[in-house]
Amino acid sequence: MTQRTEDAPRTARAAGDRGEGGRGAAAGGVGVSRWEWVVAAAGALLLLGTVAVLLGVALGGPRTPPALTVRATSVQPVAGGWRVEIEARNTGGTTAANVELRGELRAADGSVAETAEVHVDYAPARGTATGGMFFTRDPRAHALVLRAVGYEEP
Amino acid sequence: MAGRESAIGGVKRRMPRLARGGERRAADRAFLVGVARAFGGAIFFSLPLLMTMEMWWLGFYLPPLRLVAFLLLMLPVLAVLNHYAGFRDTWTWGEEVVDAFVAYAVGFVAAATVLALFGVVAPGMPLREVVGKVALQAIPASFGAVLAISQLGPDGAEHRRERERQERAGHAAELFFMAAGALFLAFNVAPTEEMILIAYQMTPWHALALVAATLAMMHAFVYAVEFRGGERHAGGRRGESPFLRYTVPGYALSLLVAAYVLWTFGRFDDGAHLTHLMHAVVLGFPAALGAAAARLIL
Repeated sequence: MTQRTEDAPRTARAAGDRGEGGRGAAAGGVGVSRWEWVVAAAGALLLLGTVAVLLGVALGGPRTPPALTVRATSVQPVAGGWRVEIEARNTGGTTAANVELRGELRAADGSVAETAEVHVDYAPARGTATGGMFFTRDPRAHALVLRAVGYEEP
Repeated sequence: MAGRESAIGGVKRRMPRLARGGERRAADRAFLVGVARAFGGAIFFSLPLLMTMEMWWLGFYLPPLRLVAFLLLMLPVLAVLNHYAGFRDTWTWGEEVVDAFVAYAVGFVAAATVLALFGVVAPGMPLREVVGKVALQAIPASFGAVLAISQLGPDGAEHRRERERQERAGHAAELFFMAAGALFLAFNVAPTEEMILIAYQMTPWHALALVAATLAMMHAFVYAVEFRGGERHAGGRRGESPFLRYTVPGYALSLLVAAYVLWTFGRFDDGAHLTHLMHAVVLGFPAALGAAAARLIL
Protein backbone atom coordinates (compact mmCIF):
# COMPACT_ATOMS: atom_id res chain seq x y z
CA MET A 1 0.00 0.00 0.00
CA THR A 2 2.97 2.31 0.23
CA GLN A 3 4.96 3.81 -2.58
CA ARG A 4 7.74 4.89 -0.31
CA THR A 5 11.28 4.22 -1.33
CA GLU A 6 13.98 3.22 1.08
CA ASP A 7 15.85 6.50 0.84
CA ALA A 8 12.82 8.59 1.65
CA PRO A 9 14.06 9.32 5.18
CA ARG A 10 17.14 10.92 3.69
CA THR A 11 15.22 13.07 1.26
CA ALA A 12 12.86 13.98 4.03
CA ARG A 13 15.74 15.16 6.15
CA ALA A 14 16.60 17.90 3.66
CA ALA A 15 14.44 20.85 4.61
CA GLY A 16 12.09 22.07 1.96
CA ASP A 17 12.24 18.83 0.06
CA ARG A 18 9.65 17.13 2.11
CA GLY A 19 6.76 16.70 -0.23
CA GLU A 20 8.55 14.36 -2.61
CA GLY A 21 8.14 11.12 -0.72
CA GLY A 22 4.41 11.00 -1.31
CA ARG A 23 4.02 9.53 2.13
CA GLY A 24 1.06 11.60 3.13
CA ALA A 25 -1.32 9.63 0.98
CA ALA A 26 0.12 6.35 2.09
CA ALA A 27 -0.35 7.25 5.74
CA GLY A 28 -4.03 7.85 5.25
CA GLY A 29 -3.79 11.65 5.26
CA VAL A 30 -1.01 11.97 7.81
CA GLY A 31 2.45 12.67 6.46
CA VAL A 32 5.65 12.63 8.41
CA SER A 33 6.48 15.45 10.75
CA ARG A 34 9.82 17.24 10.70
CA TRP A 35 9.61 17.20 14.50
CA GLU A 36 10.01 13.48 14.34
CA TRP A 37 13.48 13.94 12.89
CA VAL A 38 14.36 16.56 15.48
CA VAL A 39 13.23 14.36 18.37
CA ALA A 40 14.82 11.24 16.88
CA ALA A 41 18.11 13.11 16.42
CA ALA A 42 17.90 14.27 20.04
CA GLY A 43 17.31 10.67 21.11
CA ALA A 44 20.27 9.47 19.07
CA LEU A 45 22.47 12.19 20.58
CA LEU A 46 21.36 11.34 24.11
CA LEU A 47 22.05 7.67 23.54
CA LEU A 48 25.44 8.29 21.93
CA GLY A 49 26.39 10.80 24.62
CA THR A 50 25.42 8.35 27.36
CA VAL A 51 27.34 5.52 25.72
CA ALA A 52 30.35 7.83 25.28
CA VAL A 53 30.34 8.85 28.96
CA LEU A 54 29.93 5.27 30.13
CA LEU A 55 32.64 3.99 27.79
CA GLY A 56 34.84 6.80 29.02
CA VAL A 57 34.28 5.58 32.56
CA ALA A 58 34.86 1.96 31.55
CA LEU A 59 38.05 2.70 29.65
CA GLY A 60 39.14 5.75 31.61
CA GLY A 61 40.67 3.93 34.50
CA PRO A 62 40.95 0.59 36.20
CA ARG A 63 38.18 -0.40 38.55
CA THR A 64 40.37 0.20 41.56
CA PRO A 65 38.89 -0.54 44.99
CA PRO A 66 37.39 2.33 46.96
CA ALA A 67 39.75 4.78 48.66
CA LEU A 68 38.08 7.15 51.06
CA THR A 69 39.22 10.40 52.56
CA VAL A 70 37.01 12.28 55.00
CA ARG A 71 37.20 15.97 55.78
CA ALA A 72 35.20 18.42 57.82
CA THR A 73 33.46 21.12 55.80
CA SER A 74 32.10 23.11 58.73
CA VAL A 75 32.06 23.13 62.53
CA GLN A 76 29.14 24.92 64.15
CA PRO A 77 27.85 25.12 67.72
CA VAL A 78 24.31 23.75 67.91
CA ALA A 79 21.92 23.03 70.75
CA GLY A 80 23.53 20.38 72.93
CA GLY A 81 27.00 20.55 71.44
CA TRP A 82 28.75 20.93 68.12
CA ARG A 83 27.90 19.79 64.64
CA VAL A 84 30.66 18.82 62.23
CA GLU A 85 29.60 18.54 58.61
CA ILE A 86 31.71 16.01 56.78
CA GLU A 87 32.38 15.02 53.22
CA ALA A 88 33.74 11.59 52.32
CA ARG A 89 35.44 11.53 48.95
CA ASN A 90 35.94 8.23 47.19
CA THR A 91 38.95 8.53 44.90
CA GLY A 92 38.78 4.85 43.95
CA GLY A 93 37.29 3.47 40.75
CA THR A 94 34.49 1.49 42.39
CA THR A 95 31.61 2.44 44.63
CA ALA A 96 31.77 1.71 48.34
CA ALA A 97 28.55 0.67 50.07
CA ASN A 98 27.68 0.66 53.79
CA VAL A 99 30.52 3.01 54.59
CA GLU A 100 31.28 3.52 58.27
CA LEU A 101 32.79 6.92 59.07
CA ARG A 102 34.31 7.75 62.45
CA GLY A 103 35.36 11.02 64.00
CA GLU A 104 37.55 11.30 67.08
CA LEU A 105 38.34 14.29 69.24
CA ARG A 106 41.82 13.89 70.68
CA ALA A 107 43.14 15.83 73.60
CA ALA A 108 46.61 17.35 73.62
CA ASP A 109 48.07 14.21 75.22
CA GLY A 110 46.70 12.08 72.38
CA SER A 111 43.95 10.42 74.39
CA VAL A 112 40.56 10.11 72.71
CA ALA A 113 38.15 12.48 74.39
CA GLU A 114 35.08 11.64 72.31
CA THR A 115 34.07 9.63 69.25
CA ALA A 116 31.16 9.94 66.86
CA GLU A 117 30.17 7.56 64.11
CA VAL A 118 28.01 7.81 61.05
CA HIS A 119 27.03 5.34 58.43
CA VAL A 120 26.46 6.28 54.77
CA ASP A 121 24.83 3.91 52.30
CA TYR A 122 27.03 4.70 49.33
CA ALA A 123 30.12 6.63 48.37
CA PRO A 124 30.07 6.58 44.56
CA ALA A 125 33.23 5.93 42.59
CA ARG A 126 35.08 9.25 42.16
CA GLY A 127 32.24 10.94 43.98
CA THR A 128 31.36 12.15 47.43
CA ALA A 129 28.99 11.33 50.25
CA THR A 130 28.09 13.98 52.80
CA GLY A 131 26.79 13.86 56.36
CA GLY A 132 27.40 15.21 59.79
CA MET A 133 28.51 14.25 63.28
CA PHE A 134 27.62 15.68 66.68
CA PHE A 135 30.06 16.16 69.53
CA THR A 136 29.41 17.41 73.04
CA ARG A 137 32.88 18.94 73.28
CA ASP A 138 34.20 21.72 71.07
CA PRO A 139 35.99 20.06 68.12
CA ARG A 140 38.05 23.23 67.60
CA ALA A 141 39.60 22.80 71.02
CA HIS A 142 40.75 19.29 70.10
CA ALA A 143 42.46 17.51 67.25
CA LEU A 144 39.61 16.24 65.03
CA VAL A 145 40.53 12.96 63.33
CA LEU A 146 38.10 11.81 60.62
CA ARG A 147 38.40 8.55 58.78
CA ALA A 148 36.47 5.82 56.99
CA VAL A 149 36.48 2.60 58.99
CA GLY A 150 35.20 0.15 56.40
CA TYR A 151 32.88 -0.51 53.49
CA GLU A 152 31.07 -3.26 51.66
CA GLU A 153 31.05 -3.99 47.95
CA PRO A 154 27.65 -3.10 46.53
CA MET B 1 7.16 28.24 8.22
CA ALA B 2 5.27 26.08 5.77
CA GLY B 3 2.93 28.97 5.09
CA ARG B 4 5.81 31.33 4.40
CA GLU B 5 7.35 28.90 1.97
CA SER B 6 4.17 28.59 0.02
CA ALA B 7 3.90 32.37 -0.20
CA ILE B 8 7.42 32.56 -1.59
CA GLY B 9 6.75 29.64 -3.86
CA GLY B 10 4.90 31.77 -6.40
CA VAL B 11 1.54 31.51 -7.99
CA LYS B 12 2.07 28.44 -10.08
CA ARG B 13 3.15 26.21 -7.21
CA ARG B 14 1.00 27.82 -4.63
CA MET B 15 -1.87 25.39 -4.53
CA PRO B 16 0.08 22.15 -4.13
CA ARG B 17 2.40 23.80 -1.63
CA LEU B 18 -0.54 24.95 0.42
CA ALA B 19 -2.00 21.49 0.35
CA ARG B 20 1.31 20.06 1.43
CA GLY B 21 1.62 22.67 4.16
CA GLY B 22 -1.69 21.59 5.60
CA GLU B 23 -0.65 17.99 5.43
CA ARG B 24 2.60 18.81 7.15
CA ARG B 25 0.80 20.66 9.90
CA ALA B 26 -1.43 17.63 10.35
CA ALA B 27 1.66 15.46 10.50
CA ASP B 28 3.31 17.76 13.03
CA ARG B 29 0.22 17.74 15.13
CA ALA B 30 -0.18 13.97 14.96
CA PHE B 31 3.46 13.50 15.89
CA LEU B 32 3.42 15.96 18.78
CA VAL B 33 0.25 14.38 20.15
CA GLY B 34 2.03 11.04 19.90
CA VAL B 35 5.05 12.41 21.76
CA ALA B 36 2.81 13.82 24.48
CA ARG B 37 1.21 10.41 24.88
CA ALA B 38 4.63 8.83 24.90
CA PHE B 39 5.71 11.12 27.75
CA GLY B 40 2.64 10.15 29.69
CA GLY B 41 3.37 6.50 29.10
CA ALA B 42 7.08 6.83 29.87
CA ILE B 43 6.32 8.32 33.28
CA PHE B 44 3.31 6.11 33.93
CA PHE B 45 5.09 2.85 33.21
CA SER B 46 8.41 3.72 34.84
CA LEU B 47 7.17 5.57 37.92
CA PRO B 48 7.54 2.54 40.22
CA LEU B 49 11.18 2.31 39.16
CA LEU B 50 11.75 6.04 39.30
CA MET B 51 10.70 5.78 42.95
CA THR B 52 12.87 2.76 43.75
CA MET B 53 16.08 3.62 45.57
CA GLU B 54 17.94 0.55 44.36
CA MET B 55 17.53 1.90 40.84
CA TRP B 56 19.23 5.15 41.80
CA TRP B 57 22.11 3.27 43.37
CA LEU B 58 22.44 0.85 40.48
CA GLY B 59 22.74 3.91 38.28
CA PHE B 60 26.13 4.72 39.70
CA TYR B 61 27.57 1.39 40.72
CA LEU B 62 26.47 -0.73 37.77
CA PRO B 63 29.51 -1.67 35.66
CA PRO B 64 29.32 0.86 32.79
CA LEU B 65 29.77 -1.70 30.02
CA ARG B 66 26.73 -3.70 31.17
CA LEU B 67 24.64 -0.55 31.10
CA VAL B 68 25.92 0.26 27.60
CA ALA B 69 25.07 -3.28 26.47
CA PHE B 70 21.56 -2.97 27.85
CA LEU B 71 21.02 0.43 26.25
CA LEU B 72 22.12 -0.86 22.85
CA LEU B 73 20.08 -4.04 23.22
CA MET B 74 16.98 -1.95 23.79
CA LEU B 75 17.34 -0.28 20.40
CA PRO B 76 16.23 -3.32 18.35
CA VAL B 77 13.64 -4.19 21.01
CA LEU B 78 12.12 -0.70 20.75
CA ALA B 79 12.28 -0.82 16.96
CA VAL B 80 10.41 -4.13 16.78
CA LEU B 81 7.86 -3.02 19.39
CA ASN B 82 7.35 0.10 17.33
CA HIS B 83 6.58 -2.04 14.36
CA TYR B 84 3.58 -3.49 16.18
CA ALA B 85 2.58 -0.67 18.51
CA GLY B 86 4.31 2.58 17.78
CA PHE B 87 3.97 6.30 17.45
CA ARG B 88 2.15 5.94 14.18
CA ASP B 89 1.84 3.48 11.40
CA THR B 90 5.32 2.80 10.18
CA TRP B 91 6.33 0.90 7.12
CA THR B 92 10.01 0.35 6.89
CA TRP B 93 12.70 -0.67 9.27
CA GLY B 94 14.48 2.65 8.78
CA GLU B 95 11.48 4.37 10.28
CA GLU B 96 11.13 1.88 13.08
CA VAL B 97 14.68 2.78 14.10
CA VAL B 98 13.92 6.49 13.87
CA ASP B 99 10.94 5.94 16.13
CA ALA B 100 13.07 3.89 18.50
CA PHE B 101 15.31 6.95 18.85
CA VAL B 102 12.23 9.07 19.45
CA ALA B 103 11.29 6.65 22.24
CA TYR B 104 14.80 7.03 23.67
CA ALA B 105 14.57 10.81 23.57
CA VAL B 106 11.25 10.70 25.39
CA GLY B 107 12.57 8.13 27.86
CA PHE B 108 15.72 10.11 28.67
CA VAL B 109 13.91 13.41 29.09
CA ALA B 110 11.08 11.89 31.14
CA ALA B 111 13.53 10.05 33.42
CA ALA B 112 15.79 13.08 33.83
CA THR B 113 12.85 15.35 34.60
CA VAL B 114 11.33 13.12 37.25
CA LEU B 115 14.68 12.30 38.85
CA ALA B 116 15.50 16.01 39.00
CA LEU B 117 12.10 16.72 40.58
CA PHE B 118 12.83 14.08 43.20
CA GLY B 119 16.29 15.50 43.84
CA VAL B 120 17.87 12.18 42.85
CA VAL B 121 19.98 13.96 40.29
CA ALA B 122 21.17 17.44 41.10
CA PRO B 123 23.84 19.87 39.99
CA GLY B 124 27.21 19.12 41.54
CA MET B 125 26.96 15.35 41.23
CA PRO B 126 29.65 13.63 39.19
CA LEU B 127 28.72 13.34 35.52
CA ARG B 128 29.00 9.57 35.63
CA GLU B 129 26.47 9.39 38.44
CA VAL B 130 23.91 11.59 36.70
CA VAL B 131 24.36 9.83 33.37
CA GLY B 132 24.17 6.40 34.98
CA LYS B 133 21.02 7.17 36.95
CA VAL B 134 19.22 8.75 34.02
CA ALA B 135 20.33 6.15 31.46
CA LEU B 136 19.20 3.24 33.62
CA GLN B 137 15.76 4.81 34.14
CA ALA B 138 15.55 5.73 30.47
CA ILE B 139 15.35 2.02 29.62
CA PRO B 140 11.95 1.34 31.21
CA ALA B 141 10.81 4.88 30.36
CA SER B 142 11.48 4.43 26.64
CA PHE B 143 9.76 1.07 26.86
CA GLY B 144 6.78 2.82 28.44
CA ALA B 145 6.88 5.46 25.72
CA VAL B 146 6.30 2.80 23.08
CA LEU B 147 3.73 0.91 25.12
CA ALA B 148 1.82 4.12 25.78
CA ILE B 149 0.69 4.31 22.24
CA SER B 150 -0.90 0.90 22.36
CA GLN B 151 -2.26 1.36 25.88
CA LEU B 152 -3.29 5.00 26.24
CA GLY B 153 -5.60 5.20 23.29
CA PRO B 154 -4.11 5.24 19.82
CA ASP B 155 -6.02 6.55 16.84
CA GLY B 156 -8.58 4.15 15.56
CA ALA B 157 -7.29 3.61 12.05
CA GLU B 158 -3.68 3.27 13.09
CA HIS B 159 -4.58 0.94 15.87
CA ARG B 160 -6.57 -1.28 13.55
CA ARG B 161 -3.61 -1.56 11.22
CA GLU B 162 -1.34 -2.50 14.09
CA ARG B 163 -3.87 -5.03 15.28
CA GLU B 164 -4.02 -6.54 11.83
CA ARG B 165 -0.28 -6.69 11.73
CA GLN B 166 -0.24 -8.40 15.10
CA GLU B 167 -2.87 -10.87 13.95
CA ARG B 168 -0.65 -11.76 11.03
CA ALA B 169 2.41 -11.97 13.24
CA GLY B 170 4.07 -15.34 13.11
CA HIS B 171 5.29 -17.56 15.87
CA ALA B 172 8.66 -15.79 16.09
CA ALA B 173 6.93 -12.43 16.54
CA GLU B 174 4.73 -13.91 19.27
CA LEU B 175 7.81 -15.17 21.07
CA PHE B 176 9.36 -11.73 20.67
CA PHE B 177 6.33 -10.18 22.36
CA MET B 178 6.73 -12.66 25.18
CA ALA B 179 10.41 -11.83 25.62
CA ALA B 180 9.63 -8.10 25.58
CA GLY B 181 6.89 -8.55 28.17
CA ALA B 182 9.22 -10.66 30.30
CA LEU B 183 11.91 -7.98 30.05
CA PHE B 184 9.53 -5.24 31.09
CA LEU B 185 8.16 -7.00 34.16
CA ALA B 186 11.51 -8.51 35.18
CA PHE B 187 13.13 -5.09 34.96
CA ASN B 188 10.44 -3.69 37.23
CA VAL B 189 11.15 -5.98 40.16
CA ALA B 190 14.75 -7.11 39.61
CA PRO B 191 16.48 -4.11 41.25
CA THR B 192 14.86 -4.59 44.66
CA GLU B 193 16.50 -6.31 47.60
CA GLU B 194 13.35 -8.36 48.05
CA MET B 195 14.33 -10.45 45.02
CA ILE B 196 17.37 -11.67 46.90
CA LEU B 197 15.53 -12.05 50.17
CA ILE B 198 12.74 -14.14 48.62
CA ALA B 199 15.26 -16.51 47.10
CA TYR B 200 16.98 -16.94 50.48
CA GLN B 201 13.70 -17.74 52.18
CA MET B 202 12.86 -20.49 49.73
CA THR B 203 13.88 -24.13 49.84
CA PRO B 204 14.49 -26.01 46.57
CA TRP B 205 10.98 -27.48 47.06
CA HIS B 206 9.55 -24.00 47.08
CA ALA B 207 11.42 -23.30 43.87
CA LEU B 208 10.00 -26.42 42.20
CA ALA B 209 6.50 -25.47 43.29
CA LEU B 210 7.07 -21.96 41.95
CA VAL B 211 8.15 -23.35 38.58
CA ALA B 212 4.97 -25.44 38.41
CA ALA B 213 2.79 -22.51 39.47
CA THR B 214 4.48 -20.21 36.97
CA LEU B 215 3.87 -22.65 34.13
CA ALA B 216 0.25 -23.11 35.17
CA MET B 217 -0.42 -19.38 35.32
CA MET B 218 1.37 -18.77 32.05
CA HIS B 219 -0.67 -21.42 30.37
CA ALA B 220 -3.89 -19.89 31.70
CA PHE B 221 -2.88 -16.62 30.03
CA VAL B 222 -1.91 -18.35 26.80
CA TYR B 223 -5.23 -20.17 26.82
CA ALA B 224 -7.04 -16.87 27.33
CA VAL B 225 -5.23 -15.41 24.33
CA GLU B 226 -6.23 -18.36 22.23
CA PHE B 227 -9.82 -17.66 23.19
CA ARG B 228 -9.65 -13.96 22.63
CA GLY B 229 -7.82 -14.31 19.34
CA GLY B 230 -10.62 -16.52 18.05
CA GLU B 231 -9.57 -17.42 14.55
CA ARG B 232 -6.16 -16.01 15.20
CA HIS B 233 -4.50 -19.36 15.57
CA ALA B 234 -7.12 -21.43 13.85
CA GLY B 235 -4.74 -21.57 10.93
CA GLY B 236 -2.11 -23.18 13.10
CA ARG B 237 -1.35 -26.78 12.45
CA ARG B 238 -3.48 -29.18 14.37
CA GLY B 239 -1.87 -31.39 16.93
CA GLU B 240 0.51 -28.66 18.07
CA SER B 241 -0.54 -27.85 21.58
CA PRO B 242 -0.33 -24.21 22.66
CA PHE B 243 1.47 -25.50 25.74
CA LEU B 244 4.43 -26.65 23.67
CA ARG B 245 4.13 -23.82 21.16
CA TYR B 246 3.92 -20.92 23.60
CA THR B 247 3.98 -21.80 27.26
CA VAL B 248 7.18 -23.82 27.40
CA PRO B 249 9.31 -21.67 25.07
CA GLY B 250 7.81 -18.59 26.68
CA TYR B 251 8.91 -19.79 30.11
CA ALA B 252 12.37 -20.66 28.84
CA LEU B 253 12.67 -17.16 27.36
CA SER B 254 11.44 -15.66 30.61
CA LEU B 255 14.12 -17.49 32.59
CA LEU B 256 16.80 -16.33 30.14
CA VAL B 257 15.55 -12.74 30.31
CA ALA B 258 15.44 -12.95 34.11
CA ALA B 259 19.00 -14.25 34.21
CA TYR B 260 20.19 -11.52 31.85
CA VAL B 261 18.57 -8.79 33.94
CA LEU B 262 19.98 -10.27 37.15
CA TRP B 263 23.44 -10.46 35.64
CA THR B 264 23.19 -6.87 34.44
CA PHE B 265 22.23 -5.73 37.92
CA GLY B 266 25.21 -7.55 39.39
CA ARG B 267 23.18 -10.20 41.23
CA PHE B 268 25.35 -12.96 39.78
CA ASP B 269 28.65 -11.35 40.72
CA ASP B 270 29.07 -13.35 43.87
CA GLY B 271 27.33 -16.18 45.65
CA ALA B 272 26.73 -19.76 44.63
CA HIS B 273 25.33 -21.16 41.39
CA LEU B 274 22.37 -22.74 43.15
CA THR B 275 21.49 -19.34 44.61
CA HIS B 276 21.71 -17.79 41.16
CA LEU B 277 19.36 -20.42 39.80
CA MET B 278 16.92 -19.70 42.62
CA HIS B 279 17.10 -16.00 41.84
CA ALA B 280 16.36 -16.72 38.19
CA VAL B 281 13.35 -18.87 39.16
CA VAL B 282 12.05 -16.17 41.49
CA LEU B 283 12.46 -13.42 38.91
CA GLY B 284 11.22 -15.84 36.26
CA PHE B 285 7.80 -15.74 37.93
CA PRO B 286 7.02 -12.08 37.18
CA ALA B 287 8.94 -12.37 33.91
CA ALA B 288 6.77 -15.27 32.78
CA LEU B 289 3.59 -13.45 33.72
CA GLY B 290 4.86 -10.44 31.76
CA ALA B 291 5.59 -12.72 28.84
CA ALA B 292 2.14 -14.31 28.91
CA ALA B 293 0.31 -11.04 29.47
CA ALA B 294 2.28 -9.30 26.72
CA ARG B 295 0.31 -11.23 24.13
CA LEU B 296 -2.87 -9.92 25.70
CA ILE B 297 -1.75 -6.35 26.26
CA LEU B 298 0.44 -5.43 23.31
